[in-house]
Amino acid sequence: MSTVLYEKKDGIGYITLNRPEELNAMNDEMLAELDELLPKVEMDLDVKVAVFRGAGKDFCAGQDLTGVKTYEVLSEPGEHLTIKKRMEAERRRNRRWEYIFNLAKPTIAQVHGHCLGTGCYLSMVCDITIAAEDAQFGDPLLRMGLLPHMPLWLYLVGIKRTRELLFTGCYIDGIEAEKIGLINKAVPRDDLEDEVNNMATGIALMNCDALAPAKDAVNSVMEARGLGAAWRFTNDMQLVMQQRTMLPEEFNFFSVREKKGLKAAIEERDAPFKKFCEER
Amino acid sequence: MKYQNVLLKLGGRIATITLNRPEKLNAINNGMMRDLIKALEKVRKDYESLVVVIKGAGTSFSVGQDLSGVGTDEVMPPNPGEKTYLFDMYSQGLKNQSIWQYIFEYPKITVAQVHGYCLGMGLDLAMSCRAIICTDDAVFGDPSVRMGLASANPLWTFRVGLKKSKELLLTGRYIDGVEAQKIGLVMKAVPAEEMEDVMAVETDAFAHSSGIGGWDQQGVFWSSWMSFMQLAGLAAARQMTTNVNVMSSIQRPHRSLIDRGGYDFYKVREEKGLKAAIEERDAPFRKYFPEPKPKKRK
Repeated sequence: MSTVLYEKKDGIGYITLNRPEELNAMNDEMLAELDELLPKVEMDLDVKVAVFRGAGKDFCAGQDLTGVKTYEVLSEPGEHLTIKKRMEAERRRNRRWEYIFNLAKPTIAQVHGHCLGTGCYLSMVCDITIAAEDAQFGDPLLRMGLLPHMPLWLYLVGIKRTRELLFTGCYIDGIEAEKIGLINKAVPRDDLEDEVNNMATGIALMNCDALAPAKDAVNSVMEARGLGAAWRFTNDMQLVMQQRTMLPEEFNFFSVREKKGLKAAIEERDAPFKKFCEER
Repeated sequence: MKYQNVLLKLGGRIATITLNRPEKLNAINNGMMRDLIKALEKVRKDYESLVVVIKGAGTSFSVGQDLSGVGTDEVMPPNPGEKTYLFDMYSQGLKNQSIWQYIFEYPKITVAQVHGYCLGMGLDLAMSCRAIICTDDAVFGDPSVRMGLASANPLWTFRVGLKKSKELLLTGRYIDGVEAQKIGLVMKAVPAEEMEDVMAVETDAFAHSSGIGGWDQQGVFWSSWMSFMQLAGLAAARQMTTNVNVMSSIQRPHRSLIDRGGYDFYKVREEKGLKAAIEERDAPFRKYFPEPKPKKRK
Protein backbone atom coordinates (compact mmCIF):
# COMPACT_ATOMS: atom_id res chain seq x y z
CA MET A 1 0.00 0.00 0.00
CA SER A 2 1.35 3.41 -0.82
CA THR A 3 -1.28 6.12 -1.14
CA VAL A 4 -2.94 5.02 2.09
CA LEU A 5 -1.02 4.03 5.18
CA TYR A 6 -2.51 1.98 7.96
CA GLU A 7 -1.33 1.56 11.51
CA LYS A 8 -2.96 -0.08 14.51
CA LYS A 9 -2.21 1.03 18.06
CA ASP A 10 -4.04 0.64 21.39
CA GLY A 11 -7.39 -0.17 19.88
CA ILE A 12 -7.20 2.69 17.38
CA GLY A 13 -6.78 2.23 13.63
CA TYR A 14 -4.97 5.14 11.96
CA ILE A 15 -5.76 5.55 8.29
CA THR A 16 -3.39 8.07 6.74
CA LEU A 17 -3.92 9.52 3.29
CA ASN A 18 -0.44 9.50 1.86
CA ARG A 19 0.16 11.62 -1.21
CA PRO A 20 1.69 14.56 0.63
CA GLU A 21 3.22 16.22 -2.45
CA GLU A 22 -0.23 16.28 -4.07
CA LEU A 23 -1.88 17.56 -0.87
CA ASN A 24 -3.33 14.06 -0.47
CA ALA A 25 -5.63 14.59 -3.44
CA MET A 26 -7.88 11.61 -4.07
CA ASN A 27 -7.23 9.62 -7.21
CA ASP A 28 -8.30 6.18 -8.39
CA GLU A 29 -5.45 4.44 -6.65
CA MET A 30 -6.17 6.02 -3.28
CA LEU A 31 -9.84 5.13 -3.48
CA ALA A 32 -9.07 1.57 -4.52
CA GLU A 33 -6.79 1.22 -1.53
CA LEU A 34 -9.39 2.69 0.79
CA ASP A 35 -11.98 0.31 -0.66
CA GLU A 36 -9.72 -2.58 0.14
CA LEU A 37 -8.66 -1.38 3.57
CA LEU A 38 -11.91 -0.22 5.13
CA PRO A 39 -13.75 -3.58 5.28
CA LYS A 40 -10.70 -5.01 7.05
CA VAL A 41 -10.71 -2.17 9.56
CA GLU A 42 -14.42 -2.58 10.09
CA MET A 43 -14.16 -6.28 10.86
CA ASP A 44 -11.08 -6.03 13.06
CA LEU A 45 -12.33 -6.49 16.64
CA ASP A 46 -9.13 -5.05 18.05
CA VAL A 47 -9.86 -1.72 16.42
CA LYS A 48 -12.53 0.17 18.35
CA VAL A 49 -12.28 3.42 16.50
CA ALA A 50 -10.79 4.53 13.18
CA VAL A 51 -8.95 7.82 12.74
CA PHE A 52 -8.62 9.39 9.28
CA ARG A 53 -5.74 11.80 8.84
CA GLY A 54 -3.46 13.20 6.16
CA ALA A 55 0.32 12.93 5.75
CA GLY A 56 2.29 16.12 5.25
CA LYS A 57 0.80 19.60 5.46
CA ASP A 58 -2.80 18.80 4.60
CA PHE A 59 -5.70 16.52 5.37
CA CYS A 60 -6.90 16.30 1.77
CA ALA A 61 -7.27 18.93 -0.93
CA GLY A 62 -10.08 16.98 -2.59
CA GLN A 63 -10.29 15.32 -5.98
CA ASP A 64 -7.10 14.92 -7.93
CA LEU A 65 -7.71 17.36 -10.78
CA THR A 66 -4.84 16.28 -13.01
CA GLY A 67 -7.11 14.11 -15.11
CA VAL A 68 -4.61 11.26 -14.95
CA LYS A 69 -6.08 8.13 -13.41
CA THR A 70 -8.90 10.05 -11.83
CA TYR A 71 -11.80 8.29 -13.48
CA GLU A 72 -13.45 7.64 -10.11
CA VAL A 73 -13.30 11.21 -8.86
CA LEU A 74 -13.56 13.46 -11.90
CA SER A 75 -15.72 13.21 -14.94
CA GLU A 76 -13.79 14.63 -17.89
CA PRO A 77 -15.94 16.55 -20.36
CA GLY A 78 -14.30 15.02 -23.40
CA GLU A 79 -15.25 11.51 -22.42
CA HIS A 80 -18.21 10.23 -24.35
CA LEU A 81 -19.41 7.86 -21.73
CA THR A 82 -22.78 6.26 -21.86
CA ILE A 83 -25.25 7.26 -19.20
CA LYS A 84 -25.00 3.78 -17.76
CA LYS A 85 -21.24 4.05 -17.33
CA ARG A 86 -21.54 7.42 -15.67
CA MET A 87 -24.29 6.17 -13.41
CA GLU A 88 -22.21 3.22 -12.36
CA ALA A 89 -19.38 5.52 -11.36
CA GLU A 90 -21.70 7.85 -9.47
CA ARG A 91 -23.37 5.01 -7.61
CA ARG A 92 -19.99 3.59 -6.68
CA ARG A 93 -18.97 6.94 -5.29
CA ASN A 94 -22.15 7.22 -3.25
CA ARG A 95 -21.78 3.73 -1.88
CA ARG A 96 -18.32 4.69 -0.70
CA TRP A 97 -19.52 7.71 1.26
CA GLU A 98 -22.47 5.84 2.70
CA TYR A 99 -20.25 2.95 3.64
CA ILE A 100 -17.86 5.15 5.62
CA PHE A 101 -20.81 7.00 7.18
CA ASN A 102 -22.30 3.69 8.32
CA LEU A 103 -19.07 1.89 9.19
CA ALA A 104 -19.94 -0.23 12.24
CA LYS A 105 -17.47 1.58 14.44
CA PRO A 106 -16.82 5.21 15.34
CA THR A 107 -14.66 7.26 12.99
CA ILE A 108 -12.75 10.44 13.73
CA ALA A 109 -11.34 12.86 11.14
CA GLN A 110 -8.16 14.60 12.26
CA VAL A 111 -8.02 17.65 10.02
CA HIS A 112 -5.19 20.08 9.38
CA GLY A 113 -4.26 22.21 6.39
CA HIS A 114 -6.54 21.95 3.38
CA CYS A 115 -9.78 20.04 3.68
CA LEU A 116 -11.58 20.77 0.44
CA GLY A 117 -14.06 19.16 -1.93
CA THR A 118 -14.13 15.40 -1.48
CA GLY A 119 -11.58 15.78 1.31
CA CYS A 120 -14.15 17.86 3.15
CA TYR A 121 -16.78 15.20 2.33
CA LEU A 122 -14.56 12.58 3.94
CA SER A 123 -14.37 14.65 7.12
CA MET A 124 -18.15 15.09 7.02
CA VAL A 125 -18.99 11.39 6.77
CA CYS A 126 -16.75 10.67 9.76
CA ASP A 127 -18.63 10.64 13.07
CA ILE A 128 -16.45 13.19 14.78
CA THR A 129 -14.22 15.86 13.25
CA ILE A 130 -11.50 17.59 15.22
CA ALA A 131 -9.50 20.18 13.29
CA ALA A 132 -6.66 22.64 13.63
CA GLU A 133 -7.87 26.21 14.08
CA ASP A 134 -6.17 27.21 10.83
CA ALA A 135 -7.44 24.28 8.79
CA GLN A 136 -9.33 25.30 5.66
CA PHE A 137 -12.71 23.86 4.78
CA GLY A 138 -14.55 24.43 1.55
CA ASP A 139 -16.25 22.97 -1.48
CA PRO A 140 -15.20 24.88 -4.63
CA LEU A 141 -16.65 22.37 -7.10
CA LEU A 142 -19.21 24.80 -8.49
CA ARG A 143 -16.44 27.14 -9.65
CA MET A 144 -15.44 24.43 -12.11
CA GLY A 145 -18.98 23.78 -13.26
CA LEU A 146 -19.19 20.61 -11.22
CA LEU A 147 -21.98 19.94 -8.77
CA PRO A 148 -21.18 19.71 -5.07
CA HIS A 149 -22.68 16.38 -4.14
CA MET A 150 -22.74 15.93 -0.39
CA PRO A 151 -26.18 16.14 1.21
CA LEU A 152 -24.63 16.18 4.69
CA TRP A 153 -23.84 19.87 4.14
CA LEU A 154 -27.51 20.65 4.75
CA TYR A 155 -27.83 18.55 7.86
CA LEU A 156 -24.60 19.81 9.41
CA VAL A 157 -24.67 23.54 8.72
CA GLY A 158 -28.25 24.25 7.59
CA ILE A 159 -29.72 25.48 4.32
CA LYS A 160 -28.56 29.11 4.45
CA ARG A 161 -24.91 28.40 5.19
CA THR A 162 -24.82 25.50 2.74
CA ARG A 163 -25.96 27.79 -0.02
CA GLU A 164 -23.51 30.49 0.99
CA LEU A 165 -20.56 28.12 1.04
CA LEU A 166 -21.44 26.20 -2.12
CA PHE A 167 -22.49 29.19 -4.23
CA THR A 168 -19.34 31.17 -3.39
CA GLY A 169 -16.91 28.30 -2.99
CA CYS A 170 -15.27 30.35 -0.24
CA TYR A 171 -13.17 28.62 2.35
CA ILE A 172 -13.64 28.85 6.10
CA ASP A 173 -11.17 28.12 8.87
CA GLY A 174 -11.49 25.62 11.72
CA ILE A 175 -12.85 28.17 14.19
CA GLU A 176 -15.64 29.20 11.84
CA ALA A 177 -16.28 25.55 10.98
CA GLU A 178 -16.80 24.76 14.66
CA LYS A 179 -19.12 27.74 15.03
CA ILE A 180 -21.42 26.60 12.23
CA GLY A 181 -21.45 22.93 13.24
CA LEU A 182 -19.37 21.49 10.39
CA ILE A 183 -16.89 20.05 12.90
CA ASN A 184 -16.91 19.21 16.60
CA LYS A 185 -13.94 21.19 17.75
CA ALA A 186 -11.12 23.44 16.54
CA VAL A 187 -7.88 23.33 18.52
CA PRO A 188 -4.44 24.91 18.08
CA ARG A 189 -2.43 23.04 15.45
CA ASP A 190 0.07 21.74 18.01
CA ASP A 191 -2.64 20.20 20.17
CA LEU A 192 -4.49 18.49 17.33
CA GLU A 193 -2.91 15.07 17.56
CA ASP A 194 -3.22 14.90 21.36
CA GLU A 195 -6.82 16.01 21.22
CA VAL A 196 -7.72 13.33 18.66
CA ASN A 197 -5.82 10.61 20.49
CA ASN A 198 -7.50 11.55 23.74
CA MET A 199 -10.93 11.30 22.17
CA ALA A 200 -10.09 8.04 20.39
CA THR A 201 -8.55 6.43 23.49
CA GLY A 202 -11.58 7.40 25.56
CA ILE A 203 -13.92 5.84 23.01
CA ALA A 204 -11.70 2.76 22.72
CA LEU A 205 -12.45 1.95 26.38
CA MET A 206 -15.83 0.73 25.25
CA ASN A 207 -16.96 -2.51 23.75
CA CYS A 208 -17.41 -2.81 19.98
CA ASP A 209 -20.87 -4.19 20.73
CA ALA A 210 -21.79 -1.03 22.59
CA LEU A 211 -20.33 1.41 20.07
CA ALA A 212 -21.86 -0.08 16.94
CA PRO A 213 -25.52 0.26 17.98
CA ALA A 214 -24.90 3.62 19.67
CA LYS A 215 -23.64 4.94 16.35
CA ASP A 216 -26.37 3.19 14.42
CA ALA A 217 -29.10 4.75 16.58
CA VAL A 218 -27.96 8.22 15.52
CA ASN A 219 -27.49 7.19 11.89
CA SER A 220 -30.94 5.64 11.81
CA VAL A 221 -32.36 9.05 12.73
CA MET A 222 -30.48 10.57 9.80
CA GLU A 223 -31.94 7.90 7.56
CA ALA A 224 -35.42 8.79 8.84
CA ARG A 225 -34.61 12.44 8.15
CA GLY A 226 -34.13 11.54 4.52
CA LEU A 227 -30.37 11.25 4.16
CA GLY A 228 -30.55 8.07 2.06
CA ALA A 229 -32.92 9.65 -0.43
CA ALA A 230 -30.94 12.91 -0.42
CA TRP A 231 -27.83 10.99 -1.38
CA ARG A 232 -29.65 9.56 -4.32
CA PHE A 233 -31.09 12.90 -5.44
CA THR A 234 -27.73 14.68 -5.41
CA ASN A 235 -26.36 11.69 -7.24
CA ASP A 236 -28.88 12.07 -10.05
CA MET A 237 -28.40 15.84 -10.20
CA GLN A 238 -24.70 15.20 -10.57
CA LEU A 239 -25.42 13.02 -13.58
CA VAL A 240 -27.58 15.73 -15.11
CA MET A 241 -24.88 18.35 -14.49
CA GLN A 242 -22.29 16.22 -16.26
CA GLN A 243 -24.38 16.28 -19.44
CA ARG A 244 -24.39 20.06 -19.51
CA THR A 245 -22.80 21.96 -22.37
CA MET A 246 -20.53 24.76 -21.27
CA LEU A 247 -21.10 28.23 -22.63
CA PRO A 248 -18.27 29.63 -24.78
CA GLU A 249 -17.57 32.62 -22.52
CA GLU A 250 -17.63 30.72 -19.26
CA PHE A 251 -14.53 29.62 -17.40
CA ASN A 252 -13.65 26.18 -18.64
CA PHE A 253 -11.38 24.49 -16.18
CA PHE A 254 -10.57 21.61 -18.43
CA SER A 255 -9.49 23.61 -21.47
CA VAL A 256 -7.41 26.01 -19.35
CA ARG A 257 -5.78 23.00 -17.74
CA GLU A 258 -4.96 21.62 -21.18
CA LYS A 259 -3.43 24.89 -22.37
CA LYS A 260 -1.66 26.17 -19.28
CA GLY A 261 -1.41 23.30 -16.88
CA LEU A 262 -3.15 22.34 -13.64
CA LYS A 263 -1.67 24.94 -11.35
CA ALA A 264 -2.65 27.83 -13.61
CA ALA A 265 -6.13 26.40 -14.07
CA ILE A 266 -6.73 26.25 -10.31
CA GLU A 267 -5.29 29.74 -9.94
CA GLU A 268 -7.57 31.07 -12.67
CA ARG A 269 -10.52 29.28 -11.14
CA ASP A 270 -10.07 30.91 -7.75
CA ALA A 271 -8.69 34.34 -8.68
CA PRO A 272 -11.98 36.15 -9.49
CA PHE A 273 -13.46 35.09 -6.15
CA LYS A 274 -10.57 36.27 -4.00
CA LYS A 275 -11.91 39.76 -3.49
CA PHE A 276 -15.30 38.46 -2.36
CA CYS A 277 -14.08 35.85 0.06
CA GLU A 278 -12.60 36.94 3.32
CA GLU A 279 -8.96 35.89 3.36
CA ARG A 280 -8.24 33.42 6.12
CA MET B 1 -55.14 13.55 43.96
CA LYS B 2 -52.01 12.62 45.86
CA TYR B 3 -48.86 11.68 44.04
CA GLN B 4 -46.11 9.69 45.64
CA ASN B 5 -43.23 10.64 43.40
CA VAL B 6 -44.05 14.09 42.08
CA LEU B 7 -45.47 17.31 43.50
CA LEU B 8 -48.07 19.14 41.46
CA LYS B 9 -48.81 22.82 41.92
CA LEU B 10 -51.82 24.21 40.11
CA GLY B 11 -53.50 27.58 40.25
CA GLY B 12 -52.78 30.43 37.89
CA ARG B 13 -51.22 30.39 34.44
CA ILE B 14 -48.13 28.45 35.40
CA ALA B 15 -48.33 24.89 36.72
CA THR B 16 -45.33 23.22 38.31
CA ILE B 17 -44.51 19.54 38.47
CA THR B 18 -41.61 18.70 40.77
CA LEU B 19 -39.94 15.32 40.51
CA ASN B 20 -39.82 14.28 44.12
CA ARG B 21 -37.45 11.48 44.99
CA PRO B 22 -34.62 13.75 46.16
CA GLU B 23 -32.80 11.04 48.11
CA LYS B 24 -32.47 9.08 44.83
CA LEU B 25 -31.55 12.23 42.86
CA ASN B 26 -34.97 11.90 41.22
CA ALA B 27 -34.07 8.70 39.42
CA ILE B 28 -37.01 7.72 37.25
CA ASN B 29 -38.72 4.46 38.18
CA ASN B 30 -42.14 3.04 37.27
CA GLY B 31 -43.92 5.01 39.95
CA MET B 32 -42.41 8.35 39.02
CA MET B 33 -43.10 7.90 35.35
CA ARG B 34 -46.74 7.02 36.05
CA ASP B 35 -47.17 9.96 38.42
CA LEU B 36 -45.54 12.32 35.93
CA ILE B 37 -47.98 11.30 33.20
CA LYS B 38 -50.94 11.54 35.58
CA ALA B 39 -49.87 15.01 36.68
CA LEU B 40 -49.38 16.15 33.08
CA GLU B 41 -52.84 14.87 32.22
CA LYS B 42 -54.26 16.82 35.12
CA VAL B 43 -52.54 20.01 33.95
CA ARG B 44 -53.68 19.41 30.40
CA LYS B 45 -57.31 19.47 31.52
CA ASP B 46 -56.82 22.51 33.73
CA TYR B 47 -58.02 25.39 31.56
CA GLU B 48 -56.30 28.02 33.64
CA SER B 49 -52.73 26.81 33.23
CA LEU B 50 -50.88 27.74 30.04
CA VAL B 51 -47.36 26.72 30.90
CA VAL B 52 -46.03 23.75 32.84
CA VAL B 53 -42.63 23.80 34.49
CA ILE B 54 -40.96 20.47 35.23
CA LYS B 55 -38.19 20.56 37.83
CA GLY B 56 -36.50 18.38 40.41
CA ALA B 57 -36.61 18.48 44.21
CA GLY B 58 -33.31 18.40 46.10
CA THR B 59 -29.90 18.66 44.52
CA SER B 60 -30.67 17.47 40.98
CA PHE B 61 -33.20 17.57 38.18
CA SER B 62 -32.89 13.83 37.53
CA VAL B 63 -30.02 11.38 37.15
CA GLY B 64 -32.05 9.32 34.70
CA GLN B 65 -33.42 5.83 34.85
CA ASP B 66 -33.46 4.21 38.24
CA LEU B 67 -30.74 1.60 37.76
CA SER B 68 -31.47 -0.30 40.98
CA GLY B 69 -33.52 -2.87 39.11
CA VAL B 70 -36.36 -2.62 41.66
CA GLY B 71 -39.67 -1.32 40.36
CA THR B 72 -38.10 -0.28 37.09
CA ASP B 73 -39.37 -2.83 34.58
CA GLU B 74 -41.43 -0.15 32.81
CA VAL B 75 -38.57 2.31 32.34
CA MET B 76 -35.56 0.02 31.99
CA PRO B 77 -35.17 -2.77 29.47
CA PRO B 78 -35.48 -6.12 31.25
CA ASN B 79 -32.22 -7.74 32.31
CA PRO B 80 -31.30 -9.89 29.33
CA GLY B 81 -29.85 -12.45 31.72
CA GLU B 82 -33.41 -13.26 32.73
CA LYS B 83 -34.29 -14.73 29.33
CA THR B 84 -36.94 -12.18 28.57
CA TYR B 85 -38.95 -12.58 25.42
CA LEU B 86 -37.82 -10.30 22.64
CA PHE B 87 -41.37 -9.09 22.21
CA ASP B 88 -41.52 -7.96 25.85
CA MET B 89 -38.38 -5.91 25.39
CA TYR B 90 -39.74 -4.39 22.23
CA SER B 91 -43.10 -3.51 23.83
CA GLN B 92 -41.28 -1.88 26.71
CA GLY B 93 -39.15 0.16 24.30
CA LEU B 94 -42.16 1.31 22.31
CA LYS B 95 -44.10 2.18 25.43
CA ASN B 96 -41.27 4.38 26.65
CA GLN B 97 -41.08 6.02 23.26
CA SER B 98 -44.79 6.80 23.31
CA ILE B 99 -44.29 8.58 26.63
CA TRP B 100 -41.58 10.83 25.16
CA GLN B 101 -43.80 11.46 22.19
CA TYR B 102 -46.67 12.38 24.52
CA ILE B 103 -44.48 14.91 26.33
CA PHE B 104 -42.95 16.28 23.12
CA GLU B 105 -46.40 16.79 21.60
CA TYR B 106 -47.95 18.12 24.81
CA PRO B 107 -50.32 20.92 23.83
CA LYS B 108 -49.13 23.43 26.45
CA ILE B 109 -45.69 24.95 26.71
CA THR B 110 -43.42 22.70 28.75
CA VAL B 111 -40.26 24.10 30.35
CA ALA B 112 -37.63 21.97 32.03
CA GLN B 113 -35.97 23.88 34.86
CA VAL B 114 -32.70 22.04 35.30
CA HIS B 115 -30.16 22.14 38.11
CA GLY B 116 -27.63 19.59 39.33
CA TYR B 117 -27.55 16.39 37.28
CA CYS B 118 -29.65 15.84 34.20
CA LEU B 119 -28.54 12.52 32.76
CA GLY B 120 -29.81 9.71 30.57
CA MET B 121 -33.56 9.46 30.84
CA GLY B 122 -33.65 12.70 32.84
CA LEU B 123 -32.17 14.39 29.81
CA ASP B 124 -34.61 12.57 27.51
CA LEU B 125 -37.36 14.11 29.62
CA ALA B 126 -35.83 17.58 29.53
CA MET B 127 -35.22 17.36 25.77
CA SER B 128 -38.83 16.38 25.20
CA CYS B 129 -39.90 19.66 26.79
CA ARG B 130 -40.17 22.67 24.51
CA ALA B 131 -37.48 24.61 26.35
CA ILE B 132 -34.73 23.88 28.85
CA ILE B 133 -33.51 26.58 31.20
CA CYS B 134 -30.65 25.47 33.41
CA THR B 135 -28.12 26.65 35.95
CA ASP B 136 -24.68 27.20 34.46
CA ASP B 137 -23.24 24.43 36.64
CA ALA B 138 -25.90 21.87 35.72
CA VAL B 139 -24.47 18.65 34.28
CA PHE B 140 -25.90 17.03 31.16
CA GLY B 141 -25.01 13.73 29.55
CA ASP B 142 -26.18 10.38 28.31
CA PRO B 143 -23.84 7.64 29.53
CA SER B 144 -25.96 4.82 28.02
CA VAL B 145 -23.18 3.69 25.70
CA ARG B 146 -20.95 3.01 28.71
CA MET B 147 -23.44 0.31 29.72
CA GLY B 148 -23.77 -1.01 26.19
CA LEU B 149 -27.06 0.72 25.46
CA ALA B 150 -27.83 2.83 22.39
CA SER B 151 -29.83 5.97 23.05
CA ALA B 152 -33.49 5.64 22.08
CA ASN B 153 -33.93 9.41 21.95
CA PRO B 154 -34.34 10.58 18.34
CA LEU B 155 -34.29 14.29 19.23
CA TRP B 156 -30.52 14.55 19.54
CA THR B 157 -29.59 15.37 15.95
CA PHE B 158 -32.51 17.78 15.69
CA ARG B 159 -31.41 19.59 18.86
CA VAL B 160 -27.62 19.75 18.66
CA GLY B 161 -26.73 18.55 15.17
CA LEU B 162 -25.15 15.38 13.88
CA LYS B 163 -21.51 15.90 14.88
CA LYS B 164 -22.23 16.90 18.48
CA SER B 165 -24.82 14.14 18.88
CA LYS B 166 -22.30 11.53 17.92
CA GLU B 167 -19.54 13.04 20.03
CA LEU B 168 -21.72 13.00 23.14
CA LEU B 169 -23.44 9.66 22.55
CA LEU B 170 -20.31 7.74 21.52
CA THR B 171 -18.27 8.97 24.49
CA GLY B 172 -21.00 9.30 27.13
CA ARG B 173 -19.25 12.56 28.03
CA TYR B 174 -20.85 14.95 30.52
CA ILE B 175 -21.06 18.68 29.78
CA ASP B 176 -21.99 21.66 31.93
CA GLY B 177 -24.77 24.16 31.40
CA VAL B 178 -22.57 26.70 29.67
CA GLU B 179 -21.45 24.21 27.01
CA ALA B 180 -25.01 22.93 26.73
CA GLN B 181 -26.13 26.44 25.84
CA LYS B 182 -23.28 26.82 23.35
CA ILE B 183 -24.25 23.70 21.42
CA GLY B 184 -27.96 24.52 21.51
CA LEU B 185 -29.09 21.81 23.91
CA VAL B 186 -30.65 24.35 26.27
CA MET B 187 -32.31 27.71 25.75
CA LYS B 188 -30.48 29.46 28.54
CA ALA B 189 -27.87 28.74 31.23
CA VAL B 190 -28.00 31.12 34.18
CA PRO B 191 -26.27 31.43 37.57
CA ALA B 192 -28.15 29.43 40.21
CA GLU B 193 -29.00 32.46 42.29
CA GLU B 194 -30.72 34.09 39.32
CA MET B 195 -32.68 30.99 38.36
CA GLU B 196 -35.96 31.82 40.11
CA ASP B 197 -36.02 35.35 38.67
CA VAL B 198 -35.22 34.19 35.17
CA MET B 199 -37.86 31.46 35.36
CA ALA B 200 -40.44 33.99 36.56
CA VAL B 201 -39.74 36.25 33.60
CA GLU B 202 -39.49 33.50 30.99
CA THR B 203 -42.57 31.56 32.09
CA ASP B 204 -44.50 34.80 32.25
CA ALA B 205 -43.45 35.52 28.65
CA PHE B 206 -44.40 31.98 27.60
CA ALA B 207 -47.74 32.31 29.37
CA HIS B 208 -48.34 35.61 27.63
CA SER B 209 -47.69 34.17 24.18
CA SER B 210 -49.71 31.07 25.07
CA GLY B 211 -52.59 33.32 25.99
CA ILE B 212 -52.77 34.77 22.48
CA GLY B 213 -55.77 33.12 20.90
CA GLY B 214 -56.32 31.02 24.00
CA TRP B 215 -54.63 27.81 25.00
CA ASP B 216 -56.61 25.66 22.60
CA GLN B 217 -55.48 27.67 19.60
CA GLN B 218 -51.92 27.34 20.84
CA GLY B 219 -52.47 23.61 21.07
CA VAL B 220 -53.66 23.51 17.47
CA PHE B 221 -50.70 25.62 16.36
CA TRP B 222 -48.35 23.22 18.11
CA SER B 223 -49.93 20.16 16.55
CA SER B 224 -49.53 21.67 13.09
CA TRP B 225 -45.92 22.38 13.97
CA MET B 226 -45.58 18.75 15.04
CA SER B 227 -46.69 17.62 11.61
CA PHE B 228 -43.60 19.35 10.16
CA MET B 229 -41.46 17.40 12.58
CA GLN B 230 -43.11 14.13 11.57
CA LEU B 231 -42.58 15.04 7.94
CA ALA B 232 -38.95 15.79 8.71
CA GLY B 233 -38.61 12.19 9.80
CA LEU B 234 -39.27 12.26 13.53
CA ALA B 235 -42.03 9.63 13.46
CA ALA B 236 -39.88 7.10 11.62
CA ALA B 237 -36.86 8.08 13.71
CA ARG B 238 -38.74 7.18 16.90
CA GLN B 239 -39.44 3.71 15.56
CA MET B 240 -35.90 3.22 14.30
CA THR B 241 -34.10 4.38 17.45
CA THR B 242 -36.39 2.11 19.45
CA ASN B 243 -35.36 -0.79 17.23
CA VAL B 244 -31.68 -0.10 17.70
CA ASN B 245 -32.10 0.54 21.42
CA VAL B 246 -33.83 -2.83 21.89
CA MET B 247 -31.15 -4.48 19.80
CA SER B 248 -28.49 -3.00 22.06
CA SER B 249 -30.29 -3.97 25.25
CA ILE B 250 -30.31 -7.62 24.23
CA GLN B 251 -26.55 -7.52 23.95
CA ARG B 252 -24.42 -7.59 27.10
CA PRO B 253 -20.66 -7.96 27.44
CA HIS B 254 -20.98 -11.32 29.17
CA ARG B 255 -23.02 -12.67 26.29
CA SER B 256 -20.85 -11.06 23.68
CA LEU B 257 -18.53 -13.18 21.59
CA ILE B 258 -16.15 -10.30 21.63
CA ASP B 259 -15.86 -9.21 25.23
CA ARG B 260 -12.99 -6.85 24.67
CA GLY B 261 -13.14 -3.94 27.06
CA GLY B 262 -16.86 -4.25 27.61
CA TYR B 263 -18.24 -3.20 30.97
CA ASP B 264 -20.80 -5.52 32.50
CA PHE B 265 -22.98 -3.19 34.55
CA TYR B 266 -25.44 -5.88 35.67
CA LYS B 267 -22.72 -8.18 36.93
CA VAL B 268 -20.91 -5.48 38.90
CA ARG B 269 -24.20 -4.26 40.37
CA GLU B 270 -24.94 -7.78 41.56
CA GLU B 271 -21.53 -8.19 43.13
CA LYS B 272 -20.81 -4.76 44.58
CA GLY B 273 -24.03 -2.81 44.59
CA LEU B 274 -25.48 0.03 42.55
CA LYS B 275 -23.25 2.86 43.69
CA ALA B 276 -20.05 0.97 42.97
CA ALA B 277 -21.40 -0.14 39.58
CA ILE B 278 -22.09 3.43 38.51
CA GLU B 279 -18.73 4.61 39.83
CA GLU B 280 -16.90 1.82 38.02
CA ARG B 281 -18.82 2.60 34.85
CA ASP B 282 -17.68 6.22 34.75
CA ALA B 283 -14.26 6.15 36.43
CA PRO B 284 -12.12 5.03 33.44
CA PHE B 285 -13.45 7.88 31.30
CA ARG B 286 -12.62 10.76 33.64
CA LYS B 287 -9.03 10.76 32.46
CA TYR B 288 -10.09 11.46 28.89
CA PHE B 289 -13.26 13.45 29.39
CA PRO B 290 -13.09 15.73 32.43
CA GLU B 291 -16.35 15.46 34.34
CA PRO B 292 -18.01 18.72 35.34
CA LYS B 293 -19.67 18.63 38.75
CA PRO B 294 -22.54 20.77 40.03
CA LYS B 295 -21.50 23.17 42.79
CA LYS B 296 -22.40 22.06 46.30
CA ARG B 297 -25.15 24.15 47.86
CA LYS B 298 -27.05 24.11 51.10
